[in-house]
Amino acid sequence: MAELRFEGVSRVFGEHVAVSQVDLVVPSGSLTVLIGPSGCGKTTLLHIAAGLEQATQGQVFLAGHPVLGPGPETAIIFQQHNLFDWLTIRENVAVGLQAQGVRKKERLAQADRLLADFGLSAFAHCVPRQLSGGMCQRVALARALVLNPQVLLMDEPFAALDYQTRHVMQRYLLALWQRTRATIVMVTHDIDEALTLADQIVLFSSSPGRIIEVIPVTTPYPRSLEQVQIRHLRQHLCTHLEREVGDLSAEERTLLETTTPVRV
Amino acid sequence: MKFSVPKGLWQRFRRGMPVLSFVVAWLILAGLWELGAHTETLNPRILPPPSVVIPYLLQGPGSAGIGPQQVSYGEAIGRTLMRVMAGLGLGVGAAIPLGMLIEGIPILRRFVLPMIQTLAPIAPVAWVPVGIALMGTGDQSAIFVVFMGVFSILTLATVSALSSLPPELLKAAKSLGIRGWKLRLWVMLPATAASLMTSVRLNFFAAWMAVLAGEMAGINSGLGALIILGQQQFNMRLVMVGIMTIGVIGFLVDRVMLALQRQVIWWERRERGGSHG
Repeated sequence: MAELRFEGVSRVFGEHVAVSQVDLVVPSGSLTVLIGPSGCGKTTLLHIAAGLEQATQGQVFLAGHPVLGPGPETAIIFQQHNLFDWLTIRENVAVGLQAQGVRKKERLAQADRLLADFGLSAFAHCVPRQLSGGMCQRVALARALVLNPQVLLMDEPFAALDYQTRHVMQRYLLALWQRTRATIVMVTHDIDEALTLADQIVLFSSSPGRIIEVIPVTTPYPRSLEQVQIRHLRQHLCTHLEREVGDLSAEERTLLETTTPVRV
Repeated sequence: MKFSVPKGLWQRFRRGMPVLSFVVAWLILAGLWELGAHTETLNPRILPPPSVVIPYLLQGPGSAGIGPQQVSYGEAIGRTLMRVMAGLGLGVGAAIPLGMLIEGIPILRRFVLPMIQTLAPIAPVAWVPVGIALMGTGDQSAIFVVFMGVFSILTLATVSALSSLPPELLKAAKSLGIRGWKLRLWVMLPATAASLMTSVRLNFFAAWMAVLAGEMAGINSGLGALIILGQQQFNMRLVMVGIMTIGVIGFLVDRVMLALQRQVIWWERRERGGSHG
């Protein structure tokens, strides 16, 4: 696992500044959650860290090396699982290894091991359409982790799931992180999710996205929303986010309301 | 006394329903046609009824016409089918790779795509004179007409299917190290397979109509020419046999392509899940 460092990262689309001058250190083994209003550039920042987009200014460093493009050292999970419908679950998990040229027997054995860890062995020969949303997201997680990435980036990974499945997946991720101590950066709109999972919360301003505050969360796991530090932090985050949304223009507020994911 | 239909029998009946409704619909139409001819609402010399056309079809129209214009029924079917399949095969083989190249290479998108967009609205039959001038009245010009009829539309369908792939699917693939030709073959092609197969099926009809139009308009062989020959000799039984053959073969080939599509897109046959935790 490795440290992820953003140095003066900005991203401009035409005339729109999505992210402005972001300096951030995600310590090795940390579970950092980025939170902020819709459209503040959190996803853009994650894509830059994954090498899927280029920063207009600044640079992202992983374990001290600049990120120049997507690579096996960085894995990313999206809101939709993006599994390949035409491959079985086992083949989906193994496909990244196939791209690296790992021999079939070896890659399938690795996929089987991971599927067993994730409690999905019984579904190895199913195709994604036969699984529920939560299970597909677990497969996506297994597919990302089979490459032994140094950092796991998660872009609202549970936003498309129903309330109950989301909670199961949060507990699952927490257990996985506590077991592996992987470096994880996660984007979410859900304050409670951030408070339940993060050991570091990064609060962003509305567009253009700037870091307002980096908040360490020291409350031990498992957490309850009733715990004193969590309650105070929740209040603090709510106040900031409400202020940020209040700073938006009427047009931006409409956009925000229409783009915020619907909670089931 | 309680009567119940055995479950297996009921399921077999339900499975056979589409075939049954297909047959019933055609029987009704044939009955109305027969009735129309007997009551002379329809002129039986222009529209000979099924009681005349079907025995003529069953005895086999053999060959019609004389000299170089002589057309054999079986040979006409074989010729037309061969031309359609060859033209469609070449069209698919050229359009899908070109569509993938256009989607992936910006300069091709800028310069080649407008040309394809200009070719697409040209009716296939308009290529008949060009085909005949270039290659004569044989199989080659018929295949050329079919090819021109499907190639541009299928290329546009390929570009459109590839462009509408979710960007996150491609980003997910890239983050797994799938890039370049692997991205195209492993991800983009299968992700668009369902849409491309539907386009190919629809283009079969375009190809089928293109070759018949070509055969009627100057390529003097095949099913289209058989119908024109029937018209010239005022043999309306032959015309009706030709028309029915076109419909039946078109339908059967479409069924075969649908079965093929189901085989290729095998994962869509798996029952949808979602109830697991």
